[in-house]
Amino acid sequence: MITFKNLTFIFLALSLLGLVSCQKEEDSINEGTVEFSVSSNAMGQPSYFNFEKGEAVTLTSQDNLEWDFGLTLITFITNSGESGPGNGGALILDGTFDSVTDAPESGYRTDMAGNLAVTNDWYSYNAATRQFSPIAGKIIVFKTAKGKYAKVEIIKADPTDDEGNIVTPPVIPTQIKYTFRYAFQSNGSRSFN
Amino acid sequence: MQAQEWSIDTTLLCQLDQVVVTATRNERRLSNVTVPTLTVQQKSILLSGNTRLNDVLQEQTGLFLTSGTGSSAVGGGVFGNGIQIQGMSPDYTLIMLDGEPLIGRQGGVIDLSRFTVGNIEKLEIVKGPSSALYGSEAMGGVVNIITDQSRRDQFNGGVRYGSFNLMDIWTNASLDMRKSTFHMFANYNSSDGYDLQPDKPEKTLDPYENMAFQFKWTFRWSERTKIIWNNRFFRGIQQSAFSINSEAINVDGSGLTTDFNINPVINHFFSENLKTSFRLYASGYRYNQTLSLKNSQEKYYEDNFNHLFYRIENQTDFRLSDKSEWVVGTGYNVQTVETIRYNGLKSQETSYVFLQNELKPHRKWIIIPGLRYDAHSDYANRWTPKLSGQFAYNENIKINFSYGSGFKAPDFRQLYLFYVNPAAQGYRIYGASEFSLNELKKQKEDGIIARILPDAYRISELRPEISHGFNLGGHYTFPNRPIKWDVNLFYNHISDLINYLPVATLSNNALVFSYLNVRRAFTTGIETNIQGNLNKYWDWSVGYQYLRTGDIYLINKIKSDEIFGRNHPLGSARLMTLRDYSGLLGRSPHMANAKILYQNPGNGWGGSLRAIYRSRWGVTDFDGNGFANMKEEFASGFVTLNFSLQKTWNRTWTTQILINNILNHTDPVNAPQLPGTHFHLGVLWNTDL
Repeated sequence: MITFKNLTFIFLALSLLGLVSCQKEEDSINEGTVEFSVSSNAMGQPSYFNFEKGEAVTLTSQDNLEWDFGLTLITFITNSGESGPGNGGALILDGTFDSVTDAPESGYRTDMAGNLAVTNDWYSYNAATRQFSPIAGKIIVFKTAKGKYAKVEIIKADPTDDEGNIVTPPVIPTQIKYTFRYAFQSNGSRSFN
Repeated sequence: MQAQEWSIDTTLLCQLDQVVVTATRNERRLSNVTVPTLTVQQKSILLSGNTRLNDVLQEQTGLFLTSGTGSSAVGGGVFGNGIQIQGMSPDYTLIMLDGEPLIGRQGGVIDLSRFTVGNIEKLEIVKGPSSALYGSEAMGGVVNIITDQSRRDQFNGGVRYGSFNLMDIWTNASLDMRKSTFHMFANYNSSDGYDLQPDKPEKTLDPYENMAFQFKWTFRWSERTKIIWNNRFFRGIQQSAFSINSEAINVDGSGLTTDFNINPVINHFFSENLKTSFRLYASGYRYNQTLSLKNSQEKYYEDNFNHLFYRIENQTDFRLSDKSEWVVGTGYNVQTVETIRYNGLKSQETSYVFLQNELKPHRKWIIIPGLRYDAHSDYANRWTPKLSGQFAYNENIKINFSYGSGFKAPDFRQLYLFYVNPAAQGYRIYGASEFSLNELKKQKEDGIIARILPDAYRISELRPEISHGFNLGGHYTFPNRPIKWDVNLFYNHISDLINYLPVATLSNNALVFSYLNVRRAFTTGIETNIQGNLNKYWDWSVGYQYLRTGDIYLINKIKSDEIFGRNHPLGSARLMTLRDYSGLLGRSPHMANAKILYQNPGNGWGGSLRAIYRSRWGVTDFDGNGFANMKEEFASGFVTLNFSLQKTWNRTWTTQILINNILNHTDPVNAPQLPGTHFHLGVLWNTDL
């Protein structure tokens, strides 16, 4: 496991470097890898993310433009349609993070009753082991509440307790800790370069 | 049998030409059998000191002990340790006791630790599909456990005590009279279990206690007619204790397994060339588990499973000439299952007929075509062909080839499961018989279901999973030397694999799954064994299997650049190539074993040293692409080294020591069935009355 920790450390170090260099090159793109813990209770309160701030935001109401997407267990909501007042939406592309150089012009879905913008295509579920894993090569392109574009690659999803410690069966997790990489184009264009 | 009388012209590992029954459903010399067949003799089992069937089987070439697709998630129990043959899951292996199928699959797997080896005369393992003779499940292979059928008055048994408070007591008495032979066997086996992760409150294996009894009565009515009554009973209790969101044990309880087999058989010889056998068989398997919260004694979990199986069968063998022999059989079975996981009592019926013709067109050739038809009540009917043959180049070289089809009927779970997960957003899994497109449409109108997914339109009557297996191999017996070399190449193509797919989403975005025949896969490889003896006391053997497997659907997706993966859990995704593809999870590409056995009837000493190796195998899929590609998704390969030593006194008493897993390899997550170094001491006795 030592090598694994080292790799993780090197990776995190590299991604930080990457973050810095990206911002130097292109001021309008905010990029990063974040950890985002959400409730593992399907009926629980969603956790919200704001791309402009690049972090999770705590809200008492969804009825504003302070959030771009919300997540509970494995269900994404976007700030659109029945979920919120924003101009949000989403679609899923196949490919690597870097291969998505531009957000598509059209094809964004919005949240409708029982038919949410982010479909179930981004994860695989093994009913035998009761484990789910994010599928590598699925890039979710979001329209933010204000109609700007962001791309997200979900890298990891760990079941944890309230303190964020990873738990294994038969312990029932209370949270899912997601690790995802994102890039946000703040100037309103569709380009991620 | 007395140690002193163990003959030394037949070796411990291989009686060079013994009689086997499983490959063709009639008695044949092993050297004339046309399909890959492996036997394990009682002598080598006793000498190894192993007490449970799973321990014996996992030391054989190409057999790997693995948990099934749905092994127990709670309590770390041993349930669900079955045998993989030619890379096919335990779900696709038929396990028989004295020629009758064993039932009691939990999550698709018959737990082999339920079976003691004390009264096993030999094990016959036929690799590759044998469904043309045995029907469903005989897809990867058949393991036939043949219990003591010797004709002698004897009383033998053993007491063993060792690590983890293991206690194993068995006794076998047989009485041979003019018309009747009785075999009576009893076994008690218990252990306190073991703990590979002391920092966790749970044990890796919780304490258990097993009891088994077998009674066999052979009555020779006349020269031509024989009646056999064979009866087995098993009762096992497995404790469970674990913690839920706590530092200490707060849930405990136990699971009770009981099973029985009753098997009366009448054999009648009309003439030297015509014999018939009527077999009746009833078997039951019941599992009850109740777990409760330790503080409040409130019920936490309850599971029950009750499976009954009845069969009537006739098999008639007749010889038309020295060049043509027929086996013709027909049968009917009915089985029922009741569990809280299904909606009420479920039953299934199957009628079948099979024929096999053994042809010897030339002294060097044996050709065996066979065909079976199964008619089922709950899913599609099935024709199963088989063709095998042998070419004897000379006395020392024989070439075997076979093609066989295999099938596995949809299991009860795939047909009848009715599961709504209380957590995880209430996702649902419906068995294929509990489900229809019309039902989905109705639920959509009622607003329960939000979207019907495209796969729902592919739902149709579930078909059996099908395999086509090809084997090409040979035996070489060294001239003037007691060495035998076997090689076998195999290829199994499996289609109509049953998998669950999402078919709809609920209004809260949770998925509804059902079972469909979707996937295709293959397993292929080469197996080789060399065995022989150095002199009359020392025997040795070396075995190796190379295995490749693959999901054809996934391979095609990789070829069309649709599959991505990561190099480590937090890495960036990249496109996967065929070089990254490691095949089906749970398969080791390389498996090998080497054994040395010693037995000297003169001074009473005996012993064995066995090394078993398996290379790394994929266990999990962090990046959701369906296979293991990063280092963290594999379990590391390992070697186990097992040792036994014994001394026989006065031809009657044997003292024995066993030390298994001397290298102390443990992997609590991926190989929980393997404790660290463990030992036991035994006293065995053997008396002719």
